[in-house]
Amino acid sequence: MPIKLNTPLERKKITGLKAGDFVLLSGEIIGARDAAHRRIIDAMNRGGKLPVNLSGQAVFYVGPSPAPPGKASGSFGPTTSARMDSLTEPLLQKGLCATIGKGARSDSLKELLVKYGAVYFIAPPGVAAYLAKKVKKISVAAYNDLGPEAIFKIEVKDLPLFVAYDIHGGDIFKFIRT
Amino acid sequence: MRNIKITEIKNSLKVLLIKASFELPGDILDAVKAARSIETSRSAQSMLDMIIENAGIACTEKLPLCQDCGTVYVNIEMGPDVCIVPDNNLPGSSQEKFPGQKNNFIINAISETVSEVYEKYYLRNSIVSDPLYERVNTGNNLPTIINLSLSDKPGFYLEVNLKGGGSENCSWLFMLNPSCGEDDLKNKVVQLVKSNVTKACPPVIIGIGIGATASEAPKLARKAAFRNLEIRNGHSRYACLEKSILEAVNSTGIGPQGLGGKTTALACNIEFAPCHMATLPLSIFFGCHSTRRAGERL
Repeated sequence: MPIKLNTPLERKKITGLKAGDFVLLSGEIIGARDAAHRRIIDAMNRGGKLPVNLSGQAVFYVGPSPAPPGKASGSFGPTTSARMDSLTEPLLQKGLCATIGKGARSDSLKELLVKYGAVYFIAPPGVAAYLAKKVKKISVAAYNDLGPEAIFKIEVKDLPLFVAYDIHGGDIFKFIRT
Repeated sequence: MRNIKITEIKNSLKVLLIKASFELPGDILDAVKAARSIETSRSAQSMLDMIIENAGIACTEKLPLCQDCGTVYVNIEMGPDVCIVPDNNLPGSSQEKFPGQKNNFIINAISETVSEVYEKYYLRNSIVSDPLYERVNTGNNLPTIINLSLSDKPGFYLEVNLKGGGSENCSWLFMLNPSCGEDDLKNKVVQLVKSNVTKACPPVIIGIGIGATASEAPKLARKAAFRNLEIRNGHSRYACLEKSILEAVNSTGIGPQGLGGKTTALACNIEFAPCHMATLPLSIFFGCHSTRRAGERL
């Protein structure tokens, strides 16, 4: 049975998640990838205000394709999470509860998730026309000049995810540790 | 001698770009369906079902197969009987239209077409202008990587390959010791798959280039990754090696999406070439399960 979750995420529910759990996520999430992360961290380093509230939020690593007229979203799917490993801690410090992407990540990132009590979900990769159907609304929240690398506000309904790393150190990618 | 007008090339390229963006190649879809029939784990079955459903939605709703609409490769193979002619007999008269791309009437025609199709069909522009410093999106998915080769086959073959960035990042070049045998080479591939494949959208297509030089082996590997999955290497020993690497990779149990299963790779394709006596280049180029390609002979 899938576990239904809504954003903003409650700490209590995150604590109960285990690597391998199948989750259907609904509500508003944030889309941000490489360039947006660098800009968010620059803003933090300068002591500036962040363009989005990260507390209790989930960041989906995505650069969607443009929405054709009449469609809620263009193709929508995860990019490789490991590229964001060294850029994740500042966001966790601001209360980020979950990251969503594809593929295995570093051991040090896994330790950070335990430290901050955050979870890492994986979304099915390369099936972005299929996932577009789970998006009800998408708009640019900040950094419009970055094009597909801008920050997006995304409303999703029953986005299918697996818990890849839980907050207890559990790891779904057991096959590649051999 | 047959004249091929630039307009014909542009029209054909447009059709191929649209086909590659929205239609999963039939041989890949067949391989996914075959993999689905042997998978027993729920997560593997569900991932493969989603790939099949995704192909259907992309095609009927004209949503790109992947949000990463790729770097565009345009491969041209020119036969001895063709001559490319500009529409207005004024080659070289055009201004420098596309920064970062050499100014030539064929290249400009390709650039115009790529730019037009990416805008008109809501494909994502993924190319940034400066790799290290500015990284500003070029806004038209240009430049395109163009490969021109000469052939004895009559006619003009035009092919489009769209390559996503995630699987690209997992690619590698090893310069092996020439005394390295088949087992060592196979081991290198399997180790790279184990460390990288979850980031490359498994089940993947493993393109391998063996031989040539440090600069040419990756081109062989790319060619292999974009080869039809039903075609084995024409040389029996390399065909056996393809089979044996595929078996070794699939016996890792990494599976679709890295969640366990029998299908970590849909195929292993090898291309090889002679090399210098001091070298044994090995290049591995991963294609995702949505490796997009389309070709046509004009």
